[in-house]
Amino acid sequence: MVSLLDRLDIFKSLVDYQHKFGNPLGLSPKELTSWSKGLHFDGGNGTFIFTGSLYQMAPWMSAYSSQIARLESGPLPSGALLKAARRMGSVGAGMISTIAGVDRQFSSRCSSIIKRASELLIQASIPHGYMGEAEPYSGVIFMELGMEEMFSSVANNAYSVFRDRGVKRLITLDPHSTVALREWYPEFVPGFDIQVDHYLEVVKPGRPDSSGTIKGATTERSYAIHDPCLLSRRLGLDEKLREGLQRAGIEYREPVRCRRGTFCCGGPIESVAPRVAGAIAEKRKKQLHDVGDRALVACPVCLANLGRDSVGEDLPVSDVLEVL
Amino acid sequence: MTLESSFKKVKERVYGALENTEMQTGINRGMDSFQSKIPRIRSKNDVQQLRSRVREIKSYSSRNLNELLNQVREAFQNNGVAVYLEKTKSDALSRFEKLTEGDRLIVKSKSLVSEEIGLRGFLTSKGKEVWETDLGEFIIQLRGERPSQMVAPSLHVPREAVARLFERKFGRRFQSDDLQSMVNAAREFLREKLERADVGITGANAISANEGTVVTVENEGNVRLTMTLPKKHIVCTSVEKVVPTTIDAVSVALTQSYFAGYDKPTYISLTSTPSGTGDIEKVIVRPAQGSKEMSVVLVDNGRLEASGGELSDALRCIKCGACQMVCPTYSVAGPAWGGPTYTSAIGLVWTAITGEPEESEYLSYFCLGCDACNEICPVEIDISRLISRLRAKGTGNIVSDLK
Repeated sequence: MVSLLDRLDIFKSLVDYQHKFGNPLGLSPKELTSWSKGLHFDGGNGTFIFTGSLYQMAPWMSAYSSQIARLESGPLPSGALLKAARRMGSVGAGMISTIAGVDRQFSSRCSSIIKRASELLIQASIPHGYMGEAEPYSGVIFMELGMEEMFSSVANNAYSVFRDRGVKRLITLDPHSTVALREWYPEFVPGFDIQVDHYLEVVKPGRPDSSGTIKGATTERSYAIHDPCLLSRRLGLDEKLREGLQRAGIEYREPVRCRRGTFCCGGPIESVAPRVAGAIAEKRKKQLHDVGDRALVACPVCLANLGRDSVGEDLPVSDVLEVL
Repeated sequence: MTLESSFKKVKERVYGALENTEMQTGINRGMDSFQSKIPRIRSKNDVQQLRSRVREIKSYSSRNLNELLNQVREAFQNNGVAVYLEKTKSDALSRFEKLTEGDRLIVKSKSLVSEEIGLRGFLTSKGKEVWETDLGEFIIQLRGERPSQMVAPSLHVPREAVARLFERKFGRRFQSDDLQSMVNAAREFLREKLERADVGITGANAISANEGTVVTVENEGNVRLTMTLPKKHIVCTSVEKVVPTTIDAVSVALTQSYFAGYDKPTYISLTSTPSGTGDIEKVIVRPAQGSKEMSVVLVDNGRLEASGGELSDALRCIKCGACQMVCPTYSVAGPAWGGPTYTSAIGLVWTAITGEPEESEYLSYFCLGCDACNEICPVEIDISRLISRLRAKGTGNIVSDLK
């Protein structure tokens, strides 16, 4: 007898934690903002970097999904494990960290990833501010799970914060938040008028040498490139991703399904059906491993789901912001 | 609590499929094969032009469904073809019972609509002998299963499993690498049924409203035999298959074939009237070599109600199954991620339209929203968005429990 989590078990914790902590996994303000420690932001005249909290949440989501997948694999001798799963689902980040064991090294990598994005913006002469503890969560997971009313509420609250802060332009780091802000906010937030750019659209990675030529470090490793679904198909940034890698001198190889034909990492359903998400990730990792000994992604959801050690082949996965 | 139990039932079914390596072998072999054909589909200019034209044809047709239905009924009647518009599954089954009264042996070609209404099981329960003549349908008939994919209903059955199945059916051994022997065995068995059958039931890829012409596309040759060898030919299809002209209908059928992964179709048939000849003194005599009677059953089963609603875009679907062949969730869950007839991708929307809205809502949570389906769809249906509507409806039903 295998016990499985219901929709309500999953949704309730996300909603509760959004209400209590302002993000659906219940991360503390310190955990959300630690990446910015020691950095100074000049305000950027209305331009702000927008983390959307997704990179910060990736290690927690990964730990949560892995643990639920293990519990749902059963067989369970009693309802005890299901109760543990429900408890973990309903108490948020603190308990996830205790029960599932969040990978602190992964968390530290995610902080570096966000920091690198900020550095690349400066390098591209784009001064920007950061809202710090006031930065709102976009609400994207609620929309993706069909909780439109909740999404609308979160999005409208976020817009109030943006207006209070004088935000005119947001530079996003992940495709999910970008799609939410560009496509769904205008639909759900009356008067939404903020320019939204993904960092790949504006940064210029690589460093000019004395002759002014942009040159990055050529890597010896062969990276298999994994196009995140929304980045390539919805935002059309598959070419920008490659341009960035070429400018930075990063060698990459194309797997069997790439660019607009890419194969999802499975991550978007990791909270609802982590074992299905894991099976999809395993399949994708095999496709990537066929062409490279490491994989490159450009999305925290892909980074978490393909990076789960418990899933599939031994394939180190890096975010593009770790190599640019 | 009932709703939640059902969601868990779907999850349990999908999780169970993750352990089914035989099913995954079949699905993955098929998906890999399809993947190798995509560059060819994309590189052919004429295919891209045709796809664009079919998109317009289907958009127009879905907006003007009632008008086209009136037109096609008149056209069929002028052709001497009996036509019936049946609102529900049970209406359609009753019609088939009447149309096959006194008949004993029935052969069928592939028709998703017939699966939707449970036609084979119904006719069998009425004491008739019914055989599927499409190889994939024949395989799932022998296995007692429902179709796993729109064009390849036995996609989930790898060659090794077919060899074992045929060994049981025909009482002799088959080597799993000797596909021809398996095909020959099915051909021999089914040919005898085709020759003796009283009724042949086919589907339709498209129907022209102006001339009442039924267009079918196939590679096996079984559709032509099914519609011509028995004296009685009945077309079992659905209302959204009607398009304005015969050229439009052929365009739809061709596009369906290309996007199902075939380089070119082996046979396209246009059937407008029962067979006849006027070769002796110009007096029409029926039948000649083909069927004597032809009837068309147009099944509604929720489509007209969906027309104009938030799922209406699905009515433009030409059922090529390409969206299923690129879907990551389908690649690991196979037909477990589907309703009674339609699986994965646009199949979830069809499941909702054809009478299983709650089931489709539970299924929708396993969609990644990755847009792989949208990218391949020849008529550019925003399938992800339609599935997100199902999900929003599903969550909307339990939202009060979240507060």
